[in-house]
Amino acid sequence: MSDPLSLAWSVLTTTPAAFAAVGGVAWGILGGALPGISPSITMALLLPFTFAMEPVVALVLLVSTYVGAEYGGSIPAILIRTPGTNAAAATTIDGYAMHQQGRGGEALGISLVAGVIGGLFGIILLVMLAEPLSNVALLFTPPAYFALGILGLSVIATLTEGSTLKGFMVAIIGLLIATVGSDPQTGVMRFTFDRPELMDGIPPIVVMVGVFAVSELLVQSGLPPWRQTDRDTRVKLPSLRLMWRCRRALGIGSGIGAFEGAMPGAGGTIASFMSYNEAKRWSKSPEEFGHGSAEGIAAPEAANNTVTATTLVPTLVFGIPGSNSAAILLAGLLMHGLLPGPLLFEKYPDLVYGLFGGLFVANFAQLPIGILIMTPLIWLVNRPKPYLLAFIYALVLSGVYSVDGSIFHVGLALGFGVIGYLFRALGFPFLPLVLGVILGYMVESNYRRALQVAAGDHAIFIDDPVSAGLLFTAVLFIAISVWRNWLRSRKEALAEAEVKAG
Amino acid sequence: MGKDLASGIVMLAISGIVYYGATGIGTSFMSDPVGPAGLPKVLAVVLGVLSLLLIAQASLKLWRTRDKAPAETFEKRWRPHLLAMGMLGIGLGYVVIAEFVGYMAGIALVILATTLYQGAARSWRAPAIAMGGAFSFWLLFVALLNIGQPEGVWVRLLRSLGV
Repeated sequence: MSDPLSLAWSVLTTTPAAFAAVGGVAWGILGGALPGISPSITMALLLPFTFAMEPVVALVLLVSTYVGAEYGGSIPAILIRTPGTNAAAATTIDGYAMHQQGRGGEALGISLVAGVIGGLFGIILLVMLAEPLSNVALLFTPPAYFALGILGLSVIATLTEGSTLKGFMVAIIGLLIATVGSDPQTGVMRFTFDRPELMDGIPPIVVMVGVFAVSELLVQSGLPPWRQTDRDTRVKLPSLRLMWRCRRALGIGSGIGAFEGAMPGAGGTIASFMSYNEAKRWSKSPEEFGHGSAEGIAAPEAANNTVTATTLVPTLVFGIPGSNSAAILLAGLLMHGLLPGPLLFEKYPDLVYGLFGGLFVANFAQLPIGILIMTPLIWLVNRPKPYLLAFIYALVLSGVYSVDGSIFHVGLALGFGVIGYLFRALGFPFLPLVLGVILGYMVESNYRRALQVAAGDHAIFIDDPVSAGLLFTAVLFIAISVWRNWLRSRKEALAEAEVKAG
Repeated sequence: MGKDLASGIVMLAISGIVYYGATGIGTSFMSDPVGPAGLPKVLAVVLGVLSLLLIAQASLKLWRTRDKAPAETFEKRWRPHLLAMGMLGIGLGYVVIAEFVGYMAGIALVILATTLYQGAARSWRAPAIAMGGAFSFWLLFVALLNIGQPEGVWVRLLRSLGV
């Protein structure tokens, strides 16, 4: 096998991957800068159009969009105190304070440079960890893959926002959606209602675009217009001296981002807030935090860009996406008939290292693009909301149709948009649903394969040591979550009783 | 808290419907011990159990917080949802007409309807932007990227005439 560097170089110079990296970053910054349009929605909007692309180009485009969106989210956070992405919420604290002091350009520059540094750190870890970890996956048998799917769903259901109970209910809905179509073992039709469009099942893209993008459009339609951004702002790159002063914050952000990115369910938002808190705790000038501290921007931005790379570790190695955005990336992989795991590294090393190379290009490209794109970006973001929503809606409808040339799928995406909207209104999380849809095939086919081998004896899931370990970990996650929920509700009940007595 | 109770009841109904639907799934001589209906049934049962837990949890919380919160006005409570349904209606309208009128006309109508629905000024600008936007979308996706979009009856008619 050729060495990784040669493979990455070959992909970048012989395919449009490098252009895809640049284009993806620009698109991501644009999407991330629009309040309410998260990185995952920005990626979901692009997903249908990547169907006809070469796999490596498609994946580089998607992951670069993720990189760009993380910086993009900090732009409205700094300029109008409205984070464009959840992960940029921590940047709002000191970013907006700096803007109020007339240092908005400087804040944007710190965000940009910290993001590049965090992203590069994440890529180094990704390259170091991904392939060795993928060899661990060689130990996996069908019972272990089933158990891994259950663990992934359990972790996501317990760690995402909202109650654990609701998380599990939504995960089961996702698994049920995945059963629509022909049965993987026997070809018998399930829940197709004699519709030919459902015989191949419901494409995960349709579910994702519906649940993420369409539901967001429905929510945005009922909200007031976005605040206008300051038109005269330009990015001002920080001095080396300033970045040296922020080295501790950068280190903390990158370290926390690396850990949180690899943890399913954690993601950029948790990483950025934890980094902010820890950077403040370890800073020599903690009193500056909240009043325009450069470290208060550097730490969360380094964190959420490190996450963009390290979240690929569980996604590529085990097929367990750690965040909504990683789930979109996994869908992109599956859409091109590629399965995560050790075989991906063995059979398609050019794709894997091409992806890493593209990520590298994207992180560097972020710097000039972030500076150059500011003026047109501010112009675009300041367009009246009705027009922005209309064009996003048109993009969604066009994108879903392009998947299969089916207007039925467009209707289905709208239906999932309604489901996503209801989930938001009723406090149900999304990610377990998406994960259930993506992992459904893996969970069911490995479950049934394992039982076929064991002649129907469920003991196989305990006899296999990897499977037993993973299932035990899943049960542990659930038990800890239930216990924490019980403690929390007990605390709330005691607090209520005290208020009533007082 | 009433939302959780309602959600639990709906989910319980869904689990029942799914279980009933799963009983109608055919079998095959190639079936393994689980069969095509196995997993849907198990999932339906688990969903049913979780729904009952949610209903119980929500009922307990409702009973504990018996003092009523001040009622929201109809406007405040339902307006965002009604606005959302209007947006949904625009998308459904596209689904109904796109295969007849074709991509460019359909998307132009979506852009126009959405901008007016969202409160854009009723002037020449809205239809002009809608038509310009639709043309740009067609140019980008159909002409340049060769990504298929609804053709419309006219294009299919012309094609059948050999034009």
